[in-house]
Amino acid sequence: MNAVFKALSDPTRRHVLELLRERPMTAGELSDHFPVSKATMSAHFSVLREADLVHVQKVGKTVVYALKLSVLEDALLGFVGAFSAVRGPAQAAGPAKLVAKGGVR
Amino acid sequence: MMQRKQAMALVLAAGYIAAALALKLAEKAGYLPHGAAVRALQALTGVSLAVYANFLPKRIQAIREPMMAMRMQSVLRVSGWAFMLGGLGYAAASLLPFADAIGLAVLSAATAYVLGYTGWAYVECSIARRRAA
Repeated sequence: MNAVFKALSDPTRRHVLELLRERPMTAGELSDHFPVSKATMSAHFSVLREADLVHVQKVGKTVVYALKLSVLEDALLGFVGAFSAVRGPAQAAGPAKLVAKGGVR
Repeated sequence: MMQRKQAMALVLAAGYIAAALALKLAEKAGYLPHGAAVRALQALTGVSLAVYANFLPKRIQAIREPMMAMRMQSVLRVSGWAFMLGGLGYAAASLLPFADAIGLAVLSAATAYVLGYTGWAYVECSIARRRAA
């Protein structure tokens, strides 16, 4: 359960799960939605895989990710997402972006 | 892994039967009125269904066809949510008058919704496959 909370604590990983709610996607398709390096995305995928929140399937050379959330994990994702929206996008984005904007002293 | 899952399922089934027997014995011994034992079993059944439904979306399988994979994922999610809410509704109905009828109506609604959604997803996949062929 700790791994699930750790995975859901990061806004990028939550966004990945929200994208996967629509349909299974390849690692490349998911990475295109984020302005971060492939290594960083790979680390995020690894955390999600360890928490058993995504199903991984290799199709040829591509890796396809599908959602693997239990109903409670799904509800928790929705709850955390709604809570982050209430806090505001700047705070929800995490400390790194706040520092970049000069929001944290 | 599979053996562990089967063992877990057997333990849960044994627990359920033991709880039902304990309620029946308590009723026969006069510790519980008939209605209370039936309602307690209804609540237990509803909660068991909700727990099972919680893990339903985790049973996702590897499917190569993108359309099928997308629909399989959504069918599992919808089934999980519907049966979890249905199970909790069935359990909650045990506290109300006409518990049998209300519980049955809630479960029937959840089942009908899942069957309807699954049928729609199947038809959509069949049409997409025919178009692709």
